[in-house]
Amino acid sequence: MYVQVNSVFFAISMVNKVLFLRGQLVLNLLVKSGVLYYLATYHIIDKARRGIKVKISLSEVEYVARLARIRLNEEEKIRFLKELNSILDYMDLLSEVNTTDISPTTHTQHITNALRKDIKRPSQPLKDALANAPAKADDAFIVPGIIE
Amino acid sequence: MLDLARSFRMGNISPLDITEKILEAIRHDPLNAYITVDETGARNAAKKAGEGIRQESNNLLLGVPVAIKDNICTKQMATTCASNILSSFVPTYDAHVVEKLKKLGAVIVGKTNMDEFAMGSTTTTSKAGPTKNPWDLTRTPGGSSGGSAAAVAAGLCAAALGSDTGGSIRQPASFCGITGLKPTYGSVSRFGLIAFASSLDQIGPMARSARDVAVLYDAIKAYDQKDSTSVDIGYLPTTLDGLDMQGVRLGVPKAFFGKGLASDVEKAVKDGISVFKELGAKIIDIDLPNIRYGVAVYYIVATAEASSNLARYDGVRYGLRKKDADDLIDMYMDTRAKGFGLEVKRRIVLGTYALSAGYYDQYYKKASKVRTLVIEDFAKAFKMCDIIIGPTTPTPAFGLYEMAEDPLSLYLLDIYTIPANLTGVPALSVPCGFTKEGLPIGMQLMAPAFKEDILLGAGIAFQDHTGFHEVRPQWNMM
Repeated sequence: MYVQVNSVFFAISMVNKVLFLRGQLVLNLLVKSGVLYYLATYHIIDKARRGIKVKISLSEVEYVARLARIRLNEEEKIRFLKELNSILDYMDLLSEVNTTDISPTTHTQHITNALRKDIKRPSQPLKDALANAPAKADDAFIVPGIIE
Repeated sequence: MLDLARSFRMGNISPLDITEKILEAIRHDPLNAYITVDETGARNAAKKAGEGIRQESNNLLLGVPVAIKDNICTKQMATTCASNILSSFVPTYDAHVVEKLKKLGAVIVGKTNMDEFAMGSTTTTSKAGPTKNPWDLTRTPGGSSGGSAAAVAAGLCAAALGSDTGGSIRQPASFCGITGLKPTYGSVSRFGLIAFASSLDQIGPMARSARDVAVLYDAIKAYDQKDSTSVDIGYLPTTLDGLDMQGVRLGVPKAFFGKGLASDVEKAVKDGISVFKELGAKIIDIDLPNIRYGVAVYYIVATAEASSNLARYDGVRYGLRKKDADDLIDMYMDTRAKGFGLEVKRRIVLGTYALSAGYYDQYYKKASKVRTLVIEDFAKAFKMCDIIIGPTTPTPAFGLYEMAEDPLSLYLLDIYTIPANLTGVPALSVPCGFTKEGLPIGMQLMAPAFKEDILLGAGIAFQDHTGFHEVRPQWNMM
């Protein structure tokens, strides 16, 4: 009896595994073929088609991510396309505020020229400055070559 | 914390005893409140404190076990910001606030869990896994200082430091039934605080009572040359007697009691206001017309500043580096793709967009102007009242991953806490009741810049007449 029950469980778990793997495969295909992207962004594409401007397009997401030096994978791009559009739509709220002649605030305390006395003092020891470097040699940080 | 200082002097318990107790409790902590625990350092500090306890009768922090949020630098103790990109980072210096606490002989137990780079309000974006709420382990402790709040509530430290950019001290304090202060911008040095949004970030104290918060605040407030936004005014000690509320004007903004406020929270906060009324305070209705734009302003300003601050994580000077990149740009891009979590990437991309050519005026500049209007609202309100009072959060603690799929709805919950950061004024959250399910509710008090004494005095007066802050959560180390 025990063996039988066990094998039933085994069979179920195998079926589950196959279904799961197939699910993964389908998901992969959907991502690769762009179907998922199309579905996720349908309303944005639809808007664009009807001549309504969307806040941020896929190529803009890619461009901004590159400016920020972050490599996004396909899933992240789709996600951010949707989420950033909804967040930026919300930011439209600000357009109803009249800000003519209002000066911008960058800091709440109005401190200018926070300078210390011009007296020599020790800086961080080189050993400390290099302590956390992922790659270093002698007194320098090592980075990939930038000159051909 | 003050009870502990008294017990030390009466010889009932030594700093080492309580430190050992706490270290033992942390070993079995189901909350995941800490990322790093410094057992040896804590023991040594406790031993040393024990020797001086009789001589230093006025130093209330001597020997007291304190936890530090993991975005505040501690010399020779890992400071990860709950991020992969800083998982191996060991600072070579102490933050100004840590230096001050060490000088007073406080026992630094370890580093508490948080949302990655303090970006979040759930402590679920941590690379060290989520922290759980000690009142209900299926719920979030709030965030981003969720580890600090949970540790204080559960007795895994006597008090803690957190940081608050849009509510990150007050919201978790409210969710965990403790007291938390976001000080005036410029009153606590940010030197050694890993920057998220520099015009909004403040370090602040979290503890079980307003008195404890006042003692810890007094220990860390100071002018510091190493922080160019630090304000040089003569800082005086806070009186711990409680404020005489007779004639004190409490301003209640209509906008804080609108749509989206849970009925349990509304009732508890209104009852809290009645306590002040019975103590002689005058209740005044006030109007803050521009705070409805607070969330939009905040998520433009904060992400813009973050995109610039987080540019330093490039795999060169510290932190993670993705190996085998073809060239420098690839190395940057791969390192940052691997090192940052989803929410951090989302905010960097949003902030970069808000600052990029063609959108700067529409987003960043516009938001900075509306920020000015919010500041003017507060200036006008503080002509009519001494304290602005309302709920800290619209809801009590929610399920750990309940809000994970919709960033905008999560952002909107910061509506009551954001204005204090935009305007730079101090704000205090105190426990003011419980929901039907027994979850704590927080009430927020705000005062004009550098008027912490009024806030803490009112908090102390409230707690001398109520017992909400004394109720302990379901899970605590005792």
